[in-house]
Amino acid sequence: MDSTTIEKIIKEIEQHAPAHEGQHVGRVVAVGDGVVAIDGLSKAVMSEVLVFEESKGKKLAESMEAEGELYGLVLNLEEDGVRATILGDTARVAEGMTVKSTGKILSVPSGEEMLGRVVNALGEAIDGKGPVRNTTLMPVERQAAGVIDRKSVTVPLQTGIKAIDALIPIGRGQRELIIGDRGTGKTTVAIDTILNQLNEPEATRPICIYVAIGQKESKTARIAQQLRERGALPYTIIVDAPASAPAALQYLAPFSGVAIGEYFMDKGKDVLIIYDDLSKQAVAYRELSLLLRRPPGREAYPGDIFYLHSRLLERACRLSEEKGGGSITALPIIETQEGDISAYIPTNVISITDGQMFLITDLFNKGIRPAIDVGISVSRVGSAAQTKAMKGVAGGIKLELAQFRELEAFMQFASDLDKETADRIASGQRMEEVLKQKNGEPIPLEKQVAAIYAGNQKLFMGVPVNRVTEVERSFTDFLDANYKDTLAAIKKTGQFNDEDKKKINHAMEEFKLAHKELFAQ
Amino acid sequence: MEQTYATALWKLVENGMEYREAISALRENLAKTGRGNLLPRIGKAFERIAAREAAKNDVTLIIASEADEKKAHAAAKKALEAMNVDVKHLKTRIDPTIVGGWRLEGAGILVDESYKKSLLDMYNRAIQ
Ligand SMILES: Nc1ncnc2c1ncn2[C@@H]1O[C@H](COP(=O)(O)OP(=O)(O)OP(=O)(O)O)[C@@H](O)[C@H]1O
Ligand SMILES: [Mg+2]
Repeated sequence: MDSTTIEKIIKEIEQHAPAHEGQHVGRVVAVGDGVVAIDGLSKAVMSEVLVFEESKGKKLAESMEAEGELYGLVLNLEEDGVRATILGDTARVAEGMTVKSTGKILSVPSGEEMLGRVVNALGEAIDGKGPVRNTTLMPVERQAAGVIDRKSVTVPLQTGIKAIDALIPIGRGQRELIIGDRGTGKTTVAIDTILNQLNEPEATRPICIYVAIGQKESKTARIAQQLRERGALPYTIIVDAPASAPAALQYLAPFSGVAIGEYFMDKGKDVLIIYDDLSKQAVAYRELSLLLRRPPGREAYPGDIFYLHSRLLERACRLSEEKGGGSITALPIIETQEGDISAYIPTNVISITDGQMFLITDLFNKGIRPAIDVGISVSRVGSAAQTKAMKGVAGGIKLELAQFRELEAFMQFASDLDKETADRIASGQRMEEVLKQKNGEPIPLEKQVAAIYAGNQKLFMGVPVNRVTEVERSFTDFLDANYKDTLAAIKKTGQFNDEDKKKINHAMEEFKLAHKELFAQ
Repeated sequence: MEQTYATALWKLVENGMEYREAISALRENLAKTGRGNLLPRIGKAFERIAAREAAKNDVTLIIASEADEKKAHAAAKKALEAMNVDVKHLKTRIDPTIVGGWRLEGAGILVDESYKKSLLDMYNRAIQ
């Protein structure tokens, strides 16, 4: 059809269409704590966006000064009206105000130009660099991809953290829970994983989304700063709903984050999303639900809190090739109280995720950092995605460490140990050291493989325990300087073949000779 | 609680019960269940229902000045017809802040043809 015909048709329709479209409206009858009761709006649907009409009765000039439209979100449908949450400043809403329905479900903007930006739970830029342009609206609530559209997890998501990549490997499209008490290094694991994506080739580097929920603004600002300084911000989006934001926005933020991620997944990209943390989101949802007068259940959480988290985490998946092959990997974080993983929210989220890594205060305080308890942490689907090179060297470590922990406990009672036991303990202690890693220092896969291989080959047995980390570091630096090709080959093929092993064996000998002082023992 | 009683009272009278009879039945019931002191609150809730019910059929035409009335009235009538809204009483109110044009509000609908809205829309698009 040619464009003039189209124009004519549109003109014709416009002539016959009723000139004035009525909007469905309601009236605010009560307002408080971020929630409003509205009379009317009988046609409203759940999660519909409402607009508060602030300009009524105000002079034009006054209305022009308003800071953008004020939105609400329908959360309860009632007999004579609805209850909605205010997506903004409660003080702007007054009793008697007219509320307009929009017929639209809440959506957030997303797009390439959002990369490197900090946005709020509505997708609006809050980093002072002006609005984000060229965006596409993505629905905040969306049905997760069905079984037929999914593919199993086969591509690794490298965290750059030895203890994880070796023992609890994560695959792209997986949901791996990070759980632990306050201050056990949960956020650090997540941020280091984002930093490590710099080691990935640009073409397949995951887009990273960090959703900060109920965090101190200063903490999030520091994280943004760190990502910027390290060059990780250009592939990262930060969605920030700080502790000072209304409960509604803290509840929404993870959904906004995943909606922003789905834009990239739909384009065949891999996405990594971090929810830091879902305990705080649950608390915000509980607060909101009490204000909405929904009946409280266990631990005063509303009955649908399980559904809240399951429908969020369901949206992490790997799509089939027909659907573009994109993925969303989710790393939700849960904060426990005194290690209690049997509380309501932890048990819920544990049951929804594909694996869990437990961070333990005792280990953290003992200096075992990252404080991951590798004995109880699991990654049910990730091992299918682990690279062959890593699988080859990491195979025996879990068992070795488990035996070592047992012997270590036993050692406290026994005074004289036979040589074999003493050796095992010495070796276990050194493997524990090899797996330690400072925050902010993710290591690429090939170096991890080389370091763990060296550990397996007992390179560090001649080194005092407290110097293992340091020696390991200088060994990998040595490889960097003298065995670049070998490292590059491991990285490229994902394999660690006999040829490579021979080279690393050779490197170990050279290293020992060159650094006699380290192996004095 | 008072909401439920007030709704019941409203429905009784609406369904044809004589109002004095309905009230005495309500009071008897309250006394029996020991809730006599709820009565004032039921009264308030009843007023709210009455206001809401009245608003259901009330549509107000808002204009900037009396001079606009005739033209606005005709346009509003047309708009209401187009939307299939049957209005018994169309009240008129003057609100100079709408600058010009007209606005229909009530019965759960809003038609805003005011100059203020057009100007605001234009302004907001321009500064975006
Ligand atoms: N591997 C590590 N090596 C050394 N220090 C670390 C390591 N991991 C974390 N830390 C330090 O421990 C502190 C707590 O870390 P982090 O903020 O990641 O913990 P968290 O569990 O997220 O805490 P919160 O419960 O407050 O959110 C930080 O000061 C961080 O620098
Ligand atoms: Mg944290």
